[in-house]
Amino acid sequence: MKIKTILVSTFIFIAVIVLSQPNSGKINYNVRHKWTKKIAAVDYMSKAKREHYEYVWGNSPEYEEKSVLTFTPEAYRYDEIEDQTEYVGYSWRSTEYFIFRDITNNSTYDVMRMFNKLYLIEDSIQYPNWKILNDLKEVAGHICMSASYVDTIKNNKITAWFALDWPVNMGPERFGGLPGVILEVDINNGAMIISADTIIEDANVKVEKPEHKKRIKTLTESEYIKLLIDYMEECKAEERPYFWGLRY
Amino acid sequence: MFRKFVSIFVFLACSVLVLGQSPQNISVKGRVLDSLGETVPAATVMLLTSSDSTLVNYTTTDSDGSFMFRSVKNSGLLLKISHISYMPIQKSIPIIDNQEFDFGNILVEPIAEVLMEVVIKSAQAPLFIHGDTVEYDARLFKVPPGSTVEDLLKRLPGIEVDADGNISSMGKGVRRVYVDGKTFFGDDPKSVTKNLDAEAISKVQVYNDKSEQERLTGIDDGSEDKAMNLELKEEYKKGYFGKASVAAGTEQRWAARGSYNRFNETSQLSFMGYGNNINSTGVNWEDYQEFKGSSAYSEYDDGDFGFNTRNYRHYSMSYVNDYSGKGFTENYGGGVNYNYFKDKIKFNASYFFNQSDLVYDEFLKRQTFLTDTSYYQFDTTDYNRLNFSHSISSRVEVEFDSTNTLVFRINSRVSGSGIDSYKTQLYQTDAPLFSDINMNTNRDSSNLGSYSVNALSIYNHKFDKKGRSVSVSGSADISDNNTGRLTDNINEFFLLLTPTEQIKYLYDNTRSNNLYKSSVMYVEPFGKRFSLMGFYNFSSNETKSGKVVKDVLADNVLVNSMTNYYIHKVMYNRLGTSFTYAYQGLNITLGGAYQLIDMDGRYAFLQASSDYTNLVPKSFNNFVPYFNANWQMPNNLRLSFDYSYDIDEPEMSQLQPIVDNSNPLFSVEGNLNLTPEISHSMSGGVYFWNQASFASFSIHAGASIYENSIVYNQTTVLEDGIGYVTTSKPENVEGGQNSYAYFWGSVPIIKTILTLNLSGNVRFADNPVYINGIKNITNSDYYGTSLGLNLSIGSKLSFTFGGGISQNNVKYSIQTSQNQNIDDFSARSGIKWQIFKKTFVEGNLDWNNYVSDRLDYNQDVLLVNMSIRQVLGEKNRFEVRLAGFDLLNQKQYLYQMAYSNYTQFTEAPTLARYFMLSVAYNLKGFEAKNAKNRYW
Repeated sequence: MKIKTILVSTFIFIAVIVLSQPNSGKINYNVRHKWTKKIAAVDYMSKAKREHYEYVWGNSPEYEEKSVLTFTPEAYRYDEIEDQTEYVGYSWRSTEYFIFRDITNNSTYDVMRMFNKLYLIEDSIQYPNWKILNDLKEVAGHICMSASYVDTIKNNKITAWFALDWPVNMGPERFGGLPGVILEVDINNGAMIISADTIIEDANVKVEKPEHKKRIKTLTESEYIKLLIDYMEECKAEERPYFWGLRY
Repeated sequence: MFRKFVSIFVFLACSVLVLGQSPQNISVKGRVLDSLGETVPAATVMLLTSSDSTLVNYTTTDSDGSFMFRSVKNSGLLLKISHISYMPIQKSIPIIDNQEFDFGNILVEPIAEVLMEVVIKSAQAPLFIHGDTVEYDARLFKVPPGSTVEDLLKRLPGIEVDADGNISSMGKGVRRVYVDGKTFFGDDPKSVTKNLDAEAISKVQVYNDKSEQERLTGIDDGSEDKAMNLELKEEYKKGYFGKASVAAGTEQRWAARGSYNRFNETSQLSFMGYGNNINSTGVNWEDYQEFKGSSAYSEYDDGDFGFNTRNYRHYSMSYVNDYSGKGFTENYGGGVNYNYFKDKIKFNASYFFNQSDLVYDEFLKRQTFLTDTSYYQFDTTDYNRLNFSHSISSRVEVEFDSTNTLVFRINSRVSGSGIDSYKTQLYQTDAPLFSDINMNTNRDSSNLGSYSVNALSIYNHKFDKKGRSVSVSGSADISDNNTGRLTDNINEFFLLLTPTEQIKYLYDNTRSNNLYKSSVMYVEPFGKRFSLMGFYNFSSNETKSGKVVKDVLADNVLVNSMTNYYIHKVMYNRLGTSFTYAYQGLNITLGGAYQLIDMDGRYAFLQASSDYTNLVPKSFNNFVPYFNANWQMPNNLRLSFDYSYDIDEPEMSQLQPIVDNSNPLFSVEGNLNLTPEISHSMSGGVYFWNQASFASFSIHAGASIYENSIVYNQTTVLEDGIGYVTTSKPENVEGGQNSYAYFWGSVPIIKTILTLNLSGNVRFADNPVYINGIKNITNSDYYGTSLGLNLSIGSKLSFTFGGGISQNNVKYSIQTSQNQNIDDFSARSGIKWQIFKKTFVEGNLDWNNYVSDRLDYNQDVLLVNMSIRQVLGEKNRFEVRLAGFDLLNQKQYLYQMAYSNYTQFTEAPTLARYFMLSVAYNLKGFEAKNAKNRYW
């Protein structure tokens, strides 16, 4: 009994230490893309073609890139980083993409290029209906619980792992709305995995609202969703993968 | 509609009634304590819907473990509490009549330390907790192949297996082991764990078991036994597919093919076979990919590092369809392919046999221009060729660790062919038009046997510094050919009363080739934008050839002038470097290399053992610059440009002072003084793709300018008693250039319904050649354009329409009166229609018109194909197809061209109208829809 008491107390002690999480800093994510799984999940294309693709290309290596989430108690920003480690001597242009969330004012300022055009989504922050499961795992030193939902527009199954010991609502890409920081997101069982690698505390980090670029089309959240639905309809009619013109 | 309305109304009415009784929103509160009564602060408390656990709201407990939600819907939500140190707990909130629901103290159980520390943190394995069940992902705990479940369990943290095989989980005995929820060989857990293969297990679940007494009484007797369930691996990655079809048609046409593939997580095995007489000489690209599976692209290993590689690559894809369009073929082929890939090893082995028997008749009309005259030639050829090959290839790729990779590949091939041809060539004068000069008749039969082996290995090492790497390659290509040939040539001269001349020679040719190559490449990055690459290439090639020619008409005596042996060696060294800037889609590479080519050889007449005459060794050294740039702009517009300086050394056979006069009307001699061909090549392009409108276009242009080209100059004289006799000799000629530009675009007029495709193509070339000592420049200007429309009406009906025009203006500086135009016109249309759910009709119409003003040629061909197919069976596994090919019976091989100092057209009959009925079976089922192949 005595041992148990000590054990529990130790746990609580550790928990309190762990719970003193950084207020400001950076989370570095690794983003892995598995093209064959992406293709395999596009259910409106010929099944025979998708199976052929999986059979021939299923063994090809994953493509990996990096991203960073910079945060303060008031705001956070998510950016992709051009990384040349694997492909020395050749560089692809990375498409414009960043996510800015003003927590104090509950507003978004998300800039992204979709089907060749640059868009800005400016609205209040909105979240999907997460379902909470009981699965636990460790990501970047934090014990995380899983949550999931189905993106009905793109027909993607999203599984997120949020930190139980870091009760802050933020995450990579446009994911959020969970009782803890999202440290990993898995789209369509491994087609794309965004996973936290390192977490750096830095009290000096500043996240300011980005400057408005010229010639950018501004959308509300509902206009953005309408745009996605229309584009998905066209892709379905043409039987082409939607992620050629749209982020996965 | 009315029904719907009523039900909504009733639902609303009920809701109002319910709401009338209970408050709409309530408060929910509680306090979280652990089993020792200590408060649990900072626990996550979530409100979920009871139907599907959707997150509604959340909070955290304060310092005394309390939490409170206000304005919670009084609809029976779930409360879930989680904390890193405790097992998650879930409670339902009842629908209540008052304003507040107080859970009071909620007790949480600590998570066993072993699970937290070992499973989650050390093994990085997700831990799935469903109620009191803890689940392990067995695939993350590696055991050697052949291990039993017991070996696997020993590796799982929190599970212990004693010497007798008794299992315990967190100190409590495991009394029962289930497999997929079912008992396995009675009640003894050991019978499962000692017998079952660990490889079959995907998950291990451990949960509290009810004792027999508890099961009967329903009263918790406090016993703490554990039960274990072993979940077998999902078989989703394992499977097979296969297809088979047979077809029979009119004109004695038939076709059959079959393929079967079996695969699992680590291997792919496939078989394929085909036979037909409908001119499919091999398999199509898609079938080839399916046969080779994950090694379909392993042919592209390249050990020749550096920019602008010298392509000595051999593709062993001899079984991909390569029918030329002439005549009739009967084809057979088949093979087996195996791929294995596990962890860091990729292995492939394959064997393929193919055979093709080709028969054709061909008619050729040619006009050749000399300095002030021209002559005609009419060839009629009967040709028969049977060839076969056996190919065996294998490839291994080993990734020793994240920094070292080795690829080893070997391709070997044994092949043979037998050719019989009978050709008559009638020569006629231009003035007076079509007056006979001579008739040359050639009967040729030959047998060829050959083998080749090509081995390549590439090693790559990445250094700790990101981007720094070194690669080394080595390869050997060894081949050997033997040809036996009997040629019987009769030349009949009509202008004079001279006797007919006959030459009948028996050839015995051997040729062997040994090529060894090695390359090294080193890459060093400088910062994030710059990198430097250095490389060295070496190759050594030795060719040995022997030609023994006997005169059959003179008792097989050796023909001294044509019997010869030679050995030649080419050594190639290149040392180069390039500097690259690469950032945000802008890539610029500037490089240069110094290359040294040494050629050496010797030859002998008559006997292999006799004294060889040494050729004067030749050495060519040059500096070769290289430039490449491409830029990807933000809106998907891409620009590219490249320049290279190319030096191609003459082949040794071109340098030999030997005359090949096996054809009395056309002989070729060597030239000891040849120097390399030198050219500048540049090309550039623009490519644009609009992902929103689905429009795309591309423009590409390029040019090559020759400082020095190797040209076969010709001397043609009309010799009495023989006819026009041409002697051809390779010589260096200054000048020569060619340039091209093409455009294509695709514009949707009505998105997803009507698309317009446009293309244009221009080519300009100046080719110098000396004719009877006078320099002629053949100037060829080609213009072509085409336009097409694709119309899709829903997913079931689609049409294509299109047409094209092209013209080739050819001018000869030696005789401008012979300048000419060659025109091609074409029009096409097609339909794909899904008439019923499983019935499909396809048809297409192709019209082509070939016009040549110089040869007075104008030929129309209209091809009409129709087919109907029906998919049958519950799983769509069968397909019956009736097809009619070339309904108007007009198909033939037609080709017209103008080059150097001649213009010609060729006609050859081929398989024309036939009807065919086929039955196909697909294990996976045919898709009952029109295929969209436009994008991939």
